[in-house]
Amino acid sequence: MPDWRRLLGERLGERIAVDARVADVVEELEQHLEDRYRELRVRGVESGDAEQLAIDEATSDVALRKWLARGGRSVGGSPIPPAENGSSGSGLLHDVRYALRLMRHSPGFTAAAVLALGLGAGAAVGVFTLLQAVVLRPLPYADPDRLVRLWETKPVEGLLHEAVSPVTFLDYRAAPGAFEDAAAWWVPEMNLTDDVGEPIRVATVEASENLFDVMGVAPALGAGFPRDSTLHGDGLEAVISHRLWRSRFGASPEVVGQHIRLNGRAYEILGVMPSGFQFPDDTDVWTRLAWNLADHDRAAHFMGAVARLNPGVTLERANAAMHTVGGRVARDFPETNRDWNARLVPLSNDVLGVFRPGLIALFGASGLLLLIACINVANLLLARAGARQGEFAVRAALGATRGRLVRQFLIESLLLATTASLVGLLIGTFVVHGFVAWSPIEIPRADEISLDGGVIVFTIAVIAVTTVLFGVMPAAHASRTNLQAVLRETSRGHVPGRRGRTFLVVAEIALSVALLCGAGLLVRSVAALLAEDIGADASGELVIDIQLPEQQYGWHGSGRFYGRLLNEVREDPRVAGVAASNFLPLQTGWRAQFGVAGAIPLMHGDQDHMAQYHSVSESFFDVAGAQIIDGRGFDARDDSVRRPVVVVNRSFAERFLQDTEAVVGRTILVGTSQIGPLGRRLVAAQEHEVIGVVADIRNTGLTAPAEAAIYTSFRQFPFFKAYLIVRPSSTPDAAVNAVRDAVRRLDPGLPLGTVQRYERVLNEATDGNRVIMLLMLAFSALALVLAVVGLYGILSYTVSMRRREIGIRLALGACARDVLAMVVGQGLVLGVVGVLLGLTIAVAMGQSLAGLLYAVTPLDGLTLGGVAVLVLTVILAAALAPARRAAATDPMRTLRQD
Amino acid sequence: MFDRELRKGTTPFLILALLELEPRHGYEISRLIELQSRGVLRVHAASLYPLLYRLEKRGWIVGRWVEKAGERRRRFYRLTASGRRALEKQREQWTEFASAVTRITGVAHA
Repeated sequence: MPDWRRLLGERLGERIAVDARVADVVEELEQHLEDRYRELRVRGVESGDAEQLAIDEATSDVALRKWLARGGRSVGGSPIPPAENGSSGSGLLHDVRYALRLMRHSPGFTAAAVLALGLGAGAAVGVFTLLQAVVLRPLPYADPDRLVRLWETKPVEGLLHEAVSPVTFLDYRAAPGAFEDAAAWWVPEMNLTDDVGEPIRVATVEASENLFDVMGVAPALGAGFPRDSTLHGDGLEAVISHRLWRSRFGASPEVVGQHIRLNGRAYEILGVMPSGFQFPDDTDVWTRLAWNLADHDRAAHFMGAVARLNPGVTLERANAAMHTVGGRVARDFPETNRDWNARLVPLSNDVLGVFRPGLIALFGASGLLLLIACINVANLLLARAGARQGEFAVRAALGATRGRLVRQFLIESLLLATTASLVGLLIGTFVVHGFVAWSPIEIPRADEISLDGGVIVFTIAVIAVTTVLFGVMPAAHASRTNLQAVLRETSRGHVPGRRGRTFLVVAEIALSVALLCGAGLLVRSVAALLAEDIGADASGELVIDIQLPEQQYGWHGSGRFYGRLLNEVREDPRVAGVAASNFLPLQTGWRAQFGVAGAIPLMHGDQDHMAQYHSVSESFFDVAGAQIIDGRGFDARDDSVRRPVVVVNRSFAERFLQDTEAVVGRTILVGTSQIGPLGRRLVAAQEHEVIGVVADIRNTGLTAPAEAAIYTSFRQFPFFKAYLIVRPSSTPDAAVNAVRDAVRRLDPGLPLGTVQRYERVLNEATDGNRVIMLLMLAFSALALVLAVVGLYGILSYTVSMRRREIGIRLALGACARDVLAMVVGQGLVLGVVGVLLGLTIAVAMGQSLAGLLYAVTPLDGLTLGGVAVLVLTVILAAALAPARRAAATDPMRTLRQD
Repeated sequence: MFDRELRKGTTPFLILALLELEPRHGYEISRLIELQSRGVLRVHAASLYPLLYRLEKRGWIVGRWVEKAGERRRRFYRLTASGRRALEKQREQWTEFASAVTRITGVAHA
């Protein structure tokens, strides 16, 4: 090492070597010269030349000489004791502070990385939390895996989800070896009236007394229903929910033995269920079954049933047992049970419906999104590392060890990970609460949702691994590379780390294409569902349900009440139209036999001549938005003292009334005079004249064609429960008040049921699919944005790194368009490779979506092609900006810079 | 190469900017100026140290000797609060200046 002090003395005057005032400046200069010399040597400069160059540079300016002659820095800082430095504690603190300043210093990078990771993590945490709470967590019943729902089926008519007949239920229950026990219930509409408050409608089921035993949940208070071999009792007895106990009975411990008034009758309270138990659906009152299941009709399918499998019995074996019993019953009772059978569905599937496949698909999607976000950030980190290679090299040249460099980058990465995790958790919470709050549908078990600890840990781990891996790797790598090469090349056309980044961008594009394909398929499915013609149409109507207490009214009273109510509401200026019915569109009516005078005799048990019966009032077809295609609808004169009339739907007319020209005027024999305790025909004669034909209104669900249906006049065949469909003339609230006022005038003690928008009733069937589609769309749009940002980043980076090369090309006569084409071409190549890969992934994973698709297959060409075109278009747009910039390069200026 | 006056005027600005994130020593500063400008700008020891002294005298930076076990001690410079303010001000002025020049001369950022 040359003697710098001596050399400086030679150039700047001997005096400085001894002048105490400038001693520390000289020391500093000595340091500098030494560093410079070492660097020059590393770059391959001969020792003599390096010495010469270093001392020349240091003394070329007269300013330094003058300054030193004036005494340099007169006051110097005092040295800091060595012990306090280099210790890892203060170094760590220093690194953290440095990293924080660095984050503040490049807010664009920090925001992009934190937001990408935060959104990815938030979506994953949110969706997994929902999945965990709604799908994966066991139901709150004992051994829930052994609980199954029992449905009757009639496969020849495509019926797979039919309520159970009480008599046949007993046969299935007795299937040898299958069940520990099985319970059944049905849903009467109950009004709760007592002295405590307003009369309310309570969700009530009348259940066989073993229901709680089957579920494996005992009452929290009281003994519950006594057990009896016939599954029913004689008295009026009830068990209430914890919720109702608190709201209506002030959580009084003395409630057992008290009475609750339901539909005007007093039920003795035998127990209170534990908090959270509302099975089935959202039940608040369970009344004890008061009639013998065996004393009913095999053709009446109206009961829900749940069974507990015997330990060790598989679902398959139990289903086989059902099949055997079903076959036997069908043979023994062909009149009522021909073609009928039964099947068992795990209770958990039944509770969750569309949410199970939906949430699982969404979870897959959010996982992909998180992956894309991580790739994106990896890309950003690599890009930044590339830009900071010079910094690594200088630090390494100045003696920083590799460990030291790695530690600093580790801290930067961890800081980034921490911030991103916090943002992710915030977004996750928002996703969960937003989903629950904004979902148009009830989400099963929504009240049990809370952020899941396991998934939080998992997500934070993924973020930390990504940032640390891609943040530290380049540092570790850089400190190993040949410093000489880096120092020489940072200002040249070398593009470090491009291959890795290109791969990441292709992966991002591929994954977002796969996600977009999934979303596209769901969009097509929902579009197909929405395009289904229900046969009814909403234009601002409301649906209000009303339940009359049967004890008080009786059949004729019920007919009179609804007749007067309809008249009064119709007169009200706040209402533009009103109608009543016992079923809404998409609901299934009562199935019963019919005959056609002169063509089809009415026979009990005739399975070939069954139709759905619906009771609807005057104006129904108009207010419900259905279309009369022949004859007329009902009017207010079609009441119990007039000639009995019916309207049939088009399916009925086409299947059963094609033997003569005219349909209107034919005579139908109505095969039912009473629907249990719910409704009753008030006209004695079976013969009903067909007065009109209505275009089919879907009556078994959205996607199945309508069954043949007969509409009776509500005034001739009234039910205790009715839906009022009201068309407001001004505001919805005013219309509801009109109904409320009219009801109050007729019966002050009668509560209104729920008010819903008619449009919601018609669209409910597609809600689940729509929510899942929207989330999937949001995820895939986000994924596409991230992928495009990644692509834009790599193209811009390449352009800036290749500016010199581009400059040379332009100088050598290439025109701007060639450069434009080169950069855009590079982007498109990445795009095409990514899209092809993505389509392959989409095809491979398509089957996992099959459960959510309707009228579209996972290989739908239009969707896959559309996504490919969309993504390539977006990629083209993203490539144009850097390409333009490259084409606008000024060759002279670029070349001058080196 | 750039006009000497232009360089002279901007070097203090560059130094302040380089010290914004963390304290550095003289050699590191000169090396970073060269590297980060991709070789366009160079500041040699001869002009660097007098300049550092001027900035220190103005109170924008503070130099301190720092010793480390087993190494020669080095003089590290760090930005003071008023140096930070000066940096912000110069940034604004520079942006304004550059955009004014751009508007008149029609030189676009490449």
